[in-house]
Amino acid sequence: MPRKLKRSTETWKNLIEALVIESLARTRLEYLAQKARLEGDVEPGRALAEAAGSHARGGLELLELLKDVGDPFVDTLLGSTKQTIDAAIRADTHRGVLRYPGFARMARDEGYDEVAEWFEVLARLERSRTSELKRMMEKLAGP
Amino acid sequence: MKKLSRSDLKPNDEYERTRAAFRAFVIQAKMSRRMVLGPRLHVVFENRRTLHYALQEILRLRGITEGPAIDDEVARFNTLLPASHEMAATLFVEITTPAQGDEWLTKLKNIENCIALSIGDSINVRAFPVEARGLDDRTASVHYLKFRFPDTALDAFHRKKVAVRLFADHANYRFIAEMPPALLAEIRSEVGRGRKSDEEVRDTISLKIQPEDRPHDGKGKS
Repeated sequence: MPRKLKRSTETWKNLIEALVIESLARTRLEYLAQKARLEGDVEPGRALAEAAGSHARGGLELLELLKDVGDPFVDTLLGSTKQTIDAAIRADTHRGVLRYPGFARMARDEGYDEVAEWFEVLARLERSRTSELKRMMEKLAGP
Repeated sequence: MKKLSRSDLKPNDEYERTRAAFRAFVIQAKMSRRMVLGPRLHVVFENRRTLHYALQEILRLRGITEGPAIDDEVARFNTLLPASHEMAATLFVEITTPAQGDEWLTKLKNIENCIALSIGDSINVRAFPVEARGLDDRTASVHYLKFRFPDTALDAFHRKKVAVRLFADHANYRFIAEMPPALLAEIRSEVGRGRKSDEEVRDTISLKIQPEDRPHDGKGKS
């Protein structure tokens, strides 16, 4: 019988760190795959996309291992669809995401107007995303 | 202001081709539409162009290409568009560390109801949030506000030599800043002379404030 994972063990912390590593690797490789395809390099693009996919599947397995102690991002349990949508909504009020307007100010102060604008767009995205997820919650709750 | 509609939008693949130029144009246009209100608040005054751009970017980010999801998003953005006698703004609460977030998002609960425009010495137009945001114990980092001008305020706002200031009068955050001339000129050209009666907007305006209630210029409590 596998041992039940506990929070604040080194293993729990390492799982979360690995999740960040896999997520970053996946996004990075998807970007590189896109660049290769745009340059007409079909085979390299496919290889990079497959590599990105392997990181995605690795990350998903890490989340599966973490689910019994809760969503590592927002400290809620993951189980039913309602719980997962609730976790997704909470993620948009997570401390990380809430810092985007502050990141925009710092970028603007340093002269990086395009970067600042992107942080502002990301900050605005929360409203749209949350509205859609809340609509799903209402649908699940039923009439 | 004319409502946004599907016909204003480019499909995502077509938008990709013109996006760099459109972004550069809007980034430049927004420079004169920003106001800092102390160390934690930043306001962007919105118009149809800035909201059109934001809508196009959101559709692209969410990968929405067809169907009722586009109409839902257009409807959401149209709630932010100012009417002829209104001014619209996005209020950003700026924090950069988790510790700042824990402290300031809690301290600034209800900040969206504590922003107002001061016109001359005796007229205030208080902003109201377009929708409720934030959690029970803290504010959100983005709020969508409108300022609704009745006739008296609108006439005063358009007088050339009148000082126009933006202020925050929250218990934990009091700052006031004069509207820069370039921004004031732009907003004056956009906020029309719609004749909404004073009775209809009485609950969003306080016509007289006492001098001691006004936040100090440049010396906010933060």
